[in-house]
Amino acid sequence: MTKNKFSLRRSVNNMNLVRFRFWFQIAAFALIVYGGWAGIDLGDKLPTFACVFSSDASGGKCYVGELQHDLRHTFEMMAGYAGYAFLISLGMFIVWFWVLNKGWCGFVCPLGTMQDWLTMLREKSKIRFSEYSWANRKKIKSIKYILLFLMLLLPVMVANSVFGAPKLPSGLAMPFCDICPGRMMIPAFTGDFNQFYIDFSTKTDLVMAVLGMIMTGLFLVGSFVKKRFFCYFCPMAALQYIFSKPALLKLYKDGAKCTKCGDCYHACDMDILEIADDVTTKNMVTEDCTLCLKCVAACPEEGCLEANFMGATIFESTKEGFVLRMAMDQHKESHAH
Amino acid sequence: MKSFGLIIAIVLELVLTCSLLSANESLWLDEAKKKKCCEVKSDLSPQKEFSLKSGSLHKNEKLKDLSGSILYIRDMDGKIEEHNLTGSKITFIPQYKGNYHLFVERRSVQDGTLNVELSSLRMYNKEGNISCSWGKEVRGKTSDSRYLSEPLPQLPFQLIMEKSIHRHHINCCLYAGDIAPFKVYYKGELLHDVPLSVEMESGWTNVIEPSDEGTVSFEIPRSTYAPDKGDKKRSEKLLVSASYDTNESGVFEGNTYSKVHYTMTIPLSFGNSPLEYESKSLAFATVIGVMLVFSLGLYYNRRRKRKTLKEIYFDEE
Amino acid sequence: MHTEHEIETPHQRQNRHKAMEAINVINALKEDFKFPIQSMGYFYDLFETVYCRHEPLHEGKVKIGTMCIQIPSEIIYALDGVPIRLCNGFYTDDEIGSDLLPQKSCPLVKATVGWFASDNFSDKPDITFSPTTCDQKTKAGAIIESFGHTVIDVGFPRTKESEESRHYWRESVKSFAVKLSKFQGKKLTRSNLESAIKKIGYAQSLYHKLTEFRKNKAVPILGVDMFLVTNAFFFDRIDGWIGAVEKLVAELEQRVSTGVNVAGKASPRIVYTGSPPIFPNYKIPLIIEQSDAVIVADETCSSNRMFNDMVAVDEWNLYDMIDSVSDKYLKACTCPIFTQNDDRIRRIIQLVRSYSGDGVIYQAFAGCQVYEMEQRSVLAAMEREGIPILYIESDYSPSQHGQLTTRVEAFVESLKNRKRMKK
Repeated sequence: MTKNKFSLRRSVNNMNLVRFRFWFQIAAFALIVYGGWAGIDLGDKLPTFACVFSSDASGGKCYVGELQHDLRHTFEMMAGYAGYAFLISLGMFIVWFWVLNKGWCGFVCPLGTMQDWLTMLREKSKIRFSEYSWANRKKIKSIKYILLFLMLLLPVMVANSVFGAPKLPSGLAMPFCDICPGRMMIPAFTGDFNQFYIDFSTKTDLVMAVLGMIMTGLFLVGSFVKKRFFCYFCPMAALQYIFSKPALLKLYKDGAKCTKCGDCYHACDMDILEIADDVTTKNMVTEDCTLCLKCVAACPEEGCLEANFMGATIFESTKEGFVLRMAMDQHKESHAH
Repeated sequence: MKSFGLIIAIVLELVLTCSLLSANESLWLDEAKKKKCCEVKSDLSPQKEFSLKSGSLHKNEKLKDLSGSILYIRDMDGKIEEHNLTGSKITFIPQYKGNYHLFVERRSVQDGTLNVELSSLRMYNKEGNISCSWGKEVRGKTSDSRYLSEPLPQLPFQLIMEKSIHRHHINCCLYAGDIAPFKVYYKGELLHDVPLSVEMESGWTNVIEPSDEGTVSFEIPRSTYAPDKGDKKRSEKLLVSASYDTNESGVFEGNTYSKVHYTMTIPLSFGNSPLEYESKSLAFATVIGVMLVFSLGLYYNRRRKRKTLKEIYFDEE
Repeated sequence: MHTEHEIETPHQRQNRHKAMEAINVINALKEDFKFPIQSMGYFYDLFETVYCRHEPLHEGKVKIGTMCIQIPSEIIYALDGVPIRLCNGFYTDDEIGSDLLPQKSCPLVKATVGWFASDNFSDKPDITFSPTTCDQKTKAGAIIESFGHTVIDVGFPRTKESEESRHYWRESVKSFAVKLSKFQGKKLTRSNLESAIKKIGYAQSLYHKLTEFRKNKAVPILGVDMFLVTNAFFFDRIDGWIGAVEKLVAELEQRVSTGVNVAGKASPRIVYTGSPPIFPNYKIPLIIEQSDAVIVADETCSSNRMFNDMVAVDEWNLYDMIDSVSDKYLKACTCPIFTQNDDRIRRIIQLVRSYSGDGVIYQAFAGCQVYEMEQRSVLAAMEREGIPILYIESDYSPSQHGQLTTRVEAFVESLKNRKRMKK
């Protein structure tokens, strides 16, 4: 019995994470973008982008759309039905989120999958990726929190007069949905290009629609040259990180075993410095982390990084796994992937 | 002689159509929109009020006495409630947030013909009673139940609107330019030859013939008086009706009849087509423009940085 | 009577002295210890061939000399060169170098400079790359150049935490690659760098397998034998080395299964750290193992540090492979030339924990400023962790043997006592 357990653990630790993640992302993409056609409906509180505008095809809806809708109620209604509905929605979102922690970003989110596909395209074309300098990376960290704050504030201000300010026009009722590249890209994968429009009916709508188109253009080019470009600015990530501490799936680091070789940082799509340079903290799920587990796959030290689900180690870095993944296990000349 | 005959034929046609139209005193359900001041707060969901109107869209009046009519309410789970109506108002408190379909049936005998007048209306309830529906809230089901897919067994004759075809980005509502398909059912079976008549607020009317499969659809016309400036998003009413005659005899409320005349109406609201104030080509142009600008910028930036190591003796295979 | 005397040339005398030093150590390794390992025969023969008989190994190939481990061998192999690490352990060469360098200099640098001054190589490097690591090696580059050798400096940063230093080293490596490829007249391509990375990665994984055996209670291989194996990597043909180590791994597996222990049951397990013991300067390791202790792990740049950290590549294209290679050589490096030495301390502690070490022996060359300066912080850290540590200074001269033996034996005794008291 122990021998069987040892082999299962060993084969999981030796797995080719890149390939596993590629197929998992495709399956999740099919579920989320096309699931509705197969009758699958996971609800509208999903902690991943699954566009509300792709109504019958998607297998669920993203919570951000629901959140903006929930907040667009008067204060009196927020004290009654609408408030309860908001709390229930938030509660369900947190429950869904706790299952995979930030892994929703790294394994499930269709926008993330699209960005990974663009990255694969760039890699095949042998074009070098871009990196932010450390100073710039620090500066852009706060953008997602600003977007989250605006996303929470604007719908409230559409329905109410906050601190005496006039009510905002209804064009700002779903401010993030207007600028989200998912609104354009996810329906596009079902053949629906109707979300590509500029609305000239009011000034607000015009501005928001133009911003949306600009964001889509930036998204496509940005994620071609920078790995997971959009994830730095994603307000869903900001919202998720607030509830990340008690989640079930975690990334743990044993700092004593770390040699600071920086292999994990090198593999990280989000360029998180802390994964390599921090040798004291145990919980390594930082605000940018998408729990893609590339760092665990790239770590050559035995047991230094691990993915932990409810206290049990499910995938950890091993010397043998590292050698197999880098295709260094024989001195024959063959390509890794 | 021939021209005289032609004129008489035309006049007869006109008279016939006029009589058809004037005989078409439609009956439909209407929702009373409450003013904001009377919104009910806290746990109870607000009461919805409906009335039956008769006449044309342009000129109509509410029916004062609804006794004898039956109301069916179907919620998003398919549960059907039956009520006998009294008074002049229809009121009910919807428990859940979502789409409800209301059906009204009125029967009367006139000149030996049983007139069965039916009307259906879809309403969307924004706030439900949270204590009943927290399960639904948690589940967060999002599949669309706006359109009916099967006829109600309680109604002998039914006109059903199916999912309309849009060419624009808004999924929720009807707009000018959308193609609205309808199906007519008699006692559960699809009828293939019942035409649909459409009436708009301006008085514009039309009669649409069904296709071979039995679906009758038409493109919602642009509103006659839509403003070019101002509020581009105002909505207008549209009334769709179908009628059908059969030879059935029977007795209703002490009156015998030998024929039955069924009529069903569906009142709809539609807005101005979004394509009037939207531009798709500009949007694509913006996206592509941004992509070009950004990529060119990156390319030149990289070339500028790479210039220092131009003599790199590298090669990619 | 007229007899024919053949007067020895200086080179021949130098070779003879070096051969004597070498054979002493090789014989000690072969004969002084129990349960000799059969597969080590390859390595004994190799060192005899190169250092006693002075036979060249790489005829017909371009030899690229490196002064320090930070020069990426992956790039050298990719460009069809043979990397030869020029760190020298011979007292003979040290004496030659003493005339050319200040008295208080590091004996390793003196030996290397002396070797170049005497220009007596069996495998002479066609070009030498010298990274600016410690002060003495940095200045030695110009001195060696003055003897008529080609030396190219490669800029190496003295800090490794900041963005600028990491970026600087990446640029340094790229410029090194350019210079080398111009020298070789070959292009650095994706496929040859990829195969070089994988080959060296495989060699490193073999070393990892070897060291895993040393974690056992019954240690199947001596520390000095491990030093010999890793020293061989400085100059051996890589394919031959890989083949020999594969056989060694197989034999060790067998020895572990039969429970062979090259040390005594109560022998203290030592973690060796400090200035690198380069063949034949195995004085201290030999003393340790002859004093009934066994070296189970080490933290030196001639052994563990070369093999420990492996290159991880994210995208197997040239731009990413070169950056991965440069990152590996800088970020994980625990050489004392850096400003901060937390990484080295953590590494030593981790080695003691995972190899169940009983004590640490910290050996610094007399004249090595950086190792001597780090002594304070390392000793303090060991004290905090409760790990016994012995600090020794030595150099290449054979005179200190008695004194060193006494100190080491005393330390080993104290470790044995400690173990007994714990029980």
